[in-house]
Amino acid sequence: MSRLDPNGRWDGAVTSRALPSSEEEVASLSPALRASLGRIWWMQAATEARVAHSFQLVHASLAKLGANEALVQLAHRAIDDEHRHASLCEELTSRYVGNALGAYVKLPDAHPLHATAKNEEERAALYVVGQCALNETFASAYLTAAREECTSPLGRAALRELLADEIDHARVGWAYLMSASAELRVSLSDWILPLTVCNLREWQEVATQSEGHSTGELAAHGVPRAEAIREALEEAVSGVLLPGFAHVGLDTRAMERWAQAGMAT
Amino acid sequence: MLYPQHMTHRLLHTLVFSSAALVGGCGAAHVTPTSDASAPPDAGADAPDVRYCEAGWPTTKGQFRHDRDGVVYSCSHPMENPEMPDLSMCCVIRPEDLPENQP
Repeated sequence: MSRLDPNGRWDGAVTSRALPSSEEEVASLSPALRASLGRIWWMQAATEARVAHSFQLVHASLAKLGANEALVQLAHRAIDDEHRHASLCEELTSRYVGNALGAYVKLPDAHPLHATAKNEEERAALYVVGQCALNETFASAYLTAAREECTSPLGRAALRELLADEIDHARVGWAYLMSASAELRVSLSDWILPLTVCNLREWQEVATQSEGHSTGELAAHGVPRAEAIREALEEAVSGVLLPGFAHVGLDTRAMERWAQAGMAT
Repeated sequence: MLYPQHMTHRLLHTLVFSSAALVGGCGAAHVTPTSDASAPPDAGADAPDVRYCEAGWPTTKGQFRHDRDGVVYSCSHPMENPEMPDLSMCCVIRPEDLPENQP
């Protein structure tokens, strides 16, 4: 039975348009490269599905905050979006290695607890900002970098589908910040640096673990080089997060000093 | 202070500026802080801040599958490594596959 919501973004379909035929492309790859790509997309299916849980929390948080109904609905749709992403990744796995790896597995759910939040309202706002404005902005930067290096029609099509949704997910966070109360924005100003440091650390780990395996060959199929990931993350901090947070009225002075000092995590 | 040197990142426009439309507005006006006394503290400026020690939100990338001796691992390292020198980076995703859990 499908995990996808028939009322989801594409009426229960996995993608906005059919993925390109890939038999010839895949047949031209070495067995080792096919195996690597199959494994990478298989694991990404699991991690995409895990983020559906993150959006359950974001959705509940926005509802608790009494946020604009359009944002609440977008966050609800995002739960299904992440399941669609998992299905898309399964499809990519299948294109490269058939059904050799089986269904993806459920990874343990995880999210920050923000134990020192002043109250439930602040914690709910931190969930929205952390998952949407930060994590999905980094995801958008990652996917943009991946797409720039990707020449494979199949890879580019998959990355385009993922990126289109991640952009919407990030915008939920930015739009929420625009509509948050002045009082909440003051308290969030004190949190944006720790939130950014912790989330950037997660993404830098993706780059670190790519070192030694990242190749132009993989990059051509949508798995970016470690250096490209690092560059995209740093540009996201200086070019999106800092001016973005300033634009929505947060105090970015501490974050700016941290960025200028090298973005230590 | 709108960071003019960085205003050209295309995602800034796509993610931030255009998101105002979602809430039917034209974006928040920037509030210039009144004094340095009110500035948020730097990372690690005073006592250790536990907020910096939390794990961030999990990403949708960066996990890889390893198979070894019939056991499937989820790892943060992408390459097949027959020696598996650092299992701390991996978790067993089907504990029933472990030899000690075999009937």
